[in-house]
Formats: sequence, C-alpha cells, structure tokens
Amino acid sequence: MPADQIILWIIVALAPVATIFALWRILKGPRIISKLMIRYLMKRRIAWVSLIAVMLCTAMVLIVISVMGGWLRMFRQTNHDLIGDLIIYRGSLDGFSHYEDMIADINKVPEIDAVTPTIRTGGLAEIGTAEMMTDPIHAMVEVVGVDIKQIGRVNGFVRSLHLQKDVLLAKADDFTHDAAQKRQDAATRAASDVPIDQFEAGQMQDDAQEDLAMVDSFRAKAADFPSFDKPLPDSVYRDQGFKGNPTKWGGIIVGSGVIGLRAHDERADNIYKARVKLTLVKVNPGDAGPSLGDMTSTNYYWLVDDSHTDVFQVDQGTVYLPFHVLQNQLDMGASTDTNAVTGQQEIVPARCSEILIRVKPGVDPYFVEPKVAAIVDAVTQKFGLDYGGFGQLKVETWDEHQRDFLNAVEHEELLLVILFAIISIVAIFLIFCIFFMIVMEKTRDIGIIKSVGATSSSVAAIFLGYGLSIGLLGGGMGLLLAYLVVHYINQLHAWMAHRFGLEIWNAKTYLFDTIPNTMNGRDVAVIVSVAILSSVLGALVPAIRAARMNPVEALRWE
Amino acid sequence: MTVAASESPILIASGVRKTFRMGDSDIQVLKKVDLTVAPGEFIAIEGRSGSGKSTLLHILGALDECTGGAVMFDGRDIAKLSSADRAILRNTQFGFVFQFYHLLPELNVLENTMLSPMIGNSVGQFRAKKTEIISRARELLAQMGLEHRLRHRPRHLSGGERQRVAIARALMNQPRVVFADEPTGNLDADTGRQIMAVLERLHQNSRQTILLVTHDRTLAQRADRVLVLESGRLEIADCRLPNAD
Repeated sequence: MPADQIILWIIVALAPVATIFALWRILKGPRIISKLMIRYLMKRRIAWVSLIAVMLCTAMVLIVISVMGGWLRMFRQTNHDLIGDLIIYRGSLDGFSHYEDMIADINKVPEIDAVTPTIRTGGLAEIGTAEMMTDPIHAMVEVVGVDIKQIGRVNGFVRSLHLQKDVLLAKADDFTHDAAQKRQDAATRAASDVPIDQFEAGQMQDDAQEDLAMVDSFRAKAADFPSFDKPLPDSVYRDQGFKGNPTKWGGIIVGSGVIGLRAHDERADNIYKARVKLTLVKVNPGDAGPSLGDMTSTNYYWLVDDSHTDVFQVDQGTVYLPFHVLQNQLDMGASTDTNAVTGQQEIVPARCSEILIRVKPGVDPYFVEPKVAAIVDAVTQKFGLDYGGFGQLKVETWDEHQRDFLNAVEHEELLLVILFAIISIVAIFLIFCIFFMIVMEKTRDIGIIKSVGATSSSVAAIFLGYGLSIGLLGGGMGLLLAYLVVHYINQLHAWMAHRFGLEIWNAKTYLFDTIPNTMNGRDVAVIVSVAILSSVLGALVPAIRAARMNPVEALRWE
Repeated sequence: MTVAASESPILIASGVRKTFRMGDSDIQVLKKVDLTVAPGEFIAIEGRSGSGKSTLLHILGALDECTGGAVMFDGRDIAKLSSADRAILRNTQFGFVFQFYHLLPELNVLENTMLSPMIGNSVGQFRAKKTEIISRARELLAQMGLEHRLRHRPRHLSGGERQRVAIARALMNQPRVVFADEPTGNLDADTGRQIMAVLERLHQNSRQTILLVTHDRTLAQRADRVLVLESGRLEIADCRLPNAD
C-alpha cells in the first residue's frame, strides 16, 4: 500500500479511536471533563459557529444525498420494476419466434420464479369520450402487450395500476350506498299523490338499478384482479353512442401521463367511458408488403385503467394491451403458410418481443443469466433461428439492459461521494481552526487544571469531548433540519415555483414527477457518524497540543 | 511554631539544578539548591525578581522538572514518577496558590473550589461523594468569608476574594503541602495582609505545611523559617538585613 494511503487510513482510523477514547473518559474519567466540556460548549460563542457549521454541512449533505440518492434508488428500483430480473430481447419490431419453447425450458431452471413474454411496438392512439369526440387527443405511444395474470409475478407493473382491488371495492361500496339512497328516495316519492313525483320515483328506481349494475361490474373486476376487464356494465358502453359493436371492444390500460393524470390525481369515473382507437403497424419477418397501408391495423378499445409507474417517460407515452390481443392485431400469433418452394402448408410459429424473467428471492440474476443464455442458444440452434447481426437475440440482467443510463447514474453517485468528502474536509478544517483558537485562548485554563492534578489524557479528553459534543449536537440539529426539508421538499418546491417561478425539479429531466422525500436510514447513520467523527478529528490536533502543554508554561501564557 | 525534631522531613530537595535554554546559551537559574521541609513548617523563600523562586516552587510542587539533583516527597523521588503519578501527587498531596489566582472563568466560586475533587474523582465517584465534597467546599469558603459568593463567577469578585477562593481550592483535598507563589503580589497592601493572615491562621490552627515564595521581606518574616534564593543557591536569611526590621 502506498505511503499516502497508509497515512490516510491512519487519519481515518484515528477519528473513531479518538471518539471512543473521548466517550470513555467522559463517562468513566474525572468529573471535570464533562463539566468543562459542557461549560465551554455553553459559554464559548465561537463554539456555536462550529456547531452551526457542522449542522449546515450535515443538513446539506443529508438533503442532497436524500434527494439525489433517493432519485438513484428510485431510478434503479423502477427500472428493476419495469423489467424484472432478466430479459431476453431482440432489437427488431418483428420480435422472435419459439419463445414458448424457451419459456418452457427456462421454467425448468430451479432458480427461476416466473417468466412472461411481452410484445412492444409503436402505435397511434386517439383517445376520447363520446362528448369529446369532436376534439379527442392523439398521441404516438409505445404499445406493450402483457399477460396481466403473469406479469405481476415478474415485475411491478400490476402495482402501478390505479384500480387496485381495494379501490374497486371502495367504488362498489360507494355505488351500493348511492343505490340504497336512491331507492329510499324513490319509495318516499312513490308514496306521494303528485304524478310528477311518482314518475321521478320510477326514474330513481332505474338509476338505482344502474348503480347496482356498476356495483356488480366493479366487484367482478375486483374478483378478477388484475385484468383487462371493463369496470363498467355493458349497458354503459352501449349507451355511449359509438358506432360498431362497443360491448365487444376489449380493454386497454393507458399510462397515466397519456391522459394527463398524475399519481395522486382524482380519477373521475367518466375516464372509463373513453374509447381508444389504436392504429399499429404490423411488421413481419419476411416481406413487409407493398405499402404501409397494407401493414396497418386499427382496433377500438375501452380505457379500463391507468398505470403510474413513476417513470415520467413511460407514463407519458405507453399503453398496455393483453398479450394475445396485441399479438393477433400485429399478426404475430401462430399461423399456417404455404411454402413458396415446396408448396406445402407450414406452421409459422408465434412471436414476441421480449421475455421477462424473475428469479427466486436471494438468487443473483447474474448466476442465472448463463443458464438462460444456454437455453436460448439451444432453442435457436434446434429450430435453426438466425438472429445474428443487428437483430441479435440477447439475454441480459435488468441492470445490464439499462447499462447506459445506470452508468451515468453511478457516476453521479460517485460525484456525490466526492462532494460529501470535500464537505467533510471543510468541516474538519473549520473545527480544527476554531478549536486551535479555543485551545490558544484556554491555555492558561489548561495550566490551571494541570496544576490541580489533571493528567494529559484528561486534558485531551476535555477538548475531544468538546469536539464530540459539537459533532453530536451539530449532527443532530443537521438531521432535524434535513428531515424537515426533505419531508416537505415537494411542498417547498411547489411554493418556490408559485412564489418565485423557480422550478428546479423538471420531471422530463429527472424521469419522476415528484422529488424523492424519504431519508434512507443507512445514509443518515453514515452521514451523521461522519459528521461526529469529523468534529472529533478536527479537535484531535488541538487536543493533543493541549495535552502536551507544560503546566508552568501554560500558566505563564498571556 | 517549632518543628519536632523526631518528625521526618516531608520534602527534601538536594542539589536541585535548573537550566533554561535561551537561544544559543544556557541560563542556570538554580545551581545547587538544598532544602529540607518538616511537616507543619511554614517556610518563606525570599529573593529578587527573576532569582528563580517560582521555578524552585514549581519543581518542589511537581509542576516542573529539575535538570539535576533530586526532590524527595515522603521518601519518593518526584523526578522518577510518571507524569500521571505526578498529577496524582499534585491533586492529592499538594495545593497551589498563585499570584494571579488562576481561577477558571467558566466555573463559579463553589465549582472552582471543588476543582481538585472534580479532577481526582470519576463521574461515579464524584456523584457518590457529592454531598460531602460540597459541604467541605462550603465550609472552606465560609472560613474564607465567602459563603455569600458561592454562585458568583471569578470576574465578579475582587482580587482579595479571588485569592481567598484560590486558597480554598488549594485546601480542598487537605494537602500535605501548600505552595504559595507570591500570593499577595497582585494585591494592595491591606488585602495582602489579610491573605497573609489567612495563611498564618491556617498554619497555626491546622499545622499546615506552607512554602511561601515572596520578594517582600516583611511578609517573609512572618514565616517560621526564611530562606533567600540568591545566585541560584538557597541560604538562610540574615535577620539583620535593613528592611527585615
């Protein structure tokens, strides 16, 4: 190990040793140590400067680490949640075949927990309710086909849905209550002698009936959760006035941002009356056809739910269809074709875009990755699949798949550590300077207590304890300040944006629409500990100087 | 007060030398000092300013180390003790009264008086003996006429009061020897006389061993034995000196 590194490690090791020594002497050593330490802390105003310095340094680092570190953790977590542990994919819209064979073999690997295929393609969506049809929204979207019963076992997609089981049941309860209320009102009016009231009572009975149909519908969706089931009764869809056969249209889930919603926005029930017209481009592995027109496919769906993954770009431009529905719309399902050479009927296997895999808890995805890659190789060789060149079939872990992004993020993490180190060094030097001044100022006191019998270690402990108490108080106050700022950071940000027009956090840049506002326990422990150790380290040299002072010279100090 | 011949000396300095380095040259302040102090004795060491009186007192009181010779306390060579043992000696056996009082400004009168037990006892021990320690400190301060000043800070006291607090502090652990370094040097004549009266009373009532350093011959004359430090050597004072009358 080079000499400079040895010196650095000695300095780093000195801080905890000095802290333990100071604590031990404060608790077990002479009473004068704690007495003078507390008295100096309360009476010397210059010590408050170092206390404030430690507080601000701690708070600043905690806030930055909590926001940026929280962002990094969110980024990693959501990326992990979007994918799963491993992914098999091909960088081509026509996808790859024989995925069912691959899935069957992958499922046999003991470390595998769940596997699901998905399809990804681009499309043009027109979204609007019957009232909005003169002015619906149009958006270019990424269309993802998911097996909704299976994908929840692989990644966090199901958790991103708005209409969770409890939300659906709460809605059902609301409608039950409304229906009961309407029936009660209808009974009151029916008893009236006025014909108009009797007529209204009949209408109320009908409304109550509709509410009960809603109850059944929401309950059925809750019972089948997660699903692409429509949340409203068929009668509602039929009455929307759209052409065609609206009750036969399937469900589509849209990213919350596509319809302008945020995570905690209130969802009006009429968003589930919105029709989504989706136009896709079918891409076949062979000849693509004479024109784009031949390759497009348009279908209608009912908006059945919205997904909020927390990733701004994903929520802003993704819609989700049932895997087989999308597969069929893109002609990616299994079919038969006539061989142009032999003239014989051949089975064209079904295709998907990617396979997402979840490994069992505690298993390292990197350990399973080669096993999955071997299965993929075996299947491609068995069926003579040629996925070389640009459209290579790849097996990657979730972090390898997002490597470019994650690398940038990790560099940012390193930058934070460097920033923290610089701030700690500044704090150490600040405390060192202040303590050096205090020791100079207190030289005669040191002579006095030595003349009355204090040992050098007691003198050192007074100043180390002084540094420790500044670290503890400054660190504690910094933690409190940081907690308040981090906890209310979104409100603070909104207030700053409103009051000064200052918007620092841009969801487009930082992917998420809210600023992370939680503190990580491990980060807090490390940062506050470093603040305390830095304070002790800053006091170390002045404490040693004080301890080594000759009492006679100290008494003569002027 | 006379010293019983049968009692063995409490403090013996033999051939004590002290040299200070000043730039390139050595200055020998103490050349060969011999001194024997019997228990209960009140000795005054007199000398001109810069003669090395305070240096001798610091060496005898284990505050400083001599360059040569030996200082024996209770049969033990102080120079051979570790730094921690010398600190214990200063805390339990010696008491110091300085010219400039040397009280801690952050502590009040009572706390300054309790400095020795606060240094000599751990947190737990101090807590166990707290009542006893406070009662002793109050008693001493009452003897010094400072019972009404217990919670005052040193900066709110007069010079004489400060010095009386310093004496109370020196006596707190019932030391075997009290070293007083020009205790009246910073006080007016009247207050100085009061402080000397306190020391004399202490010596007469409690048989307290006192080593007083002063340049004031009149004050020195009030001790049992007066020694003069001159040219780095300690000699018996000539009582016929003009200002000794």
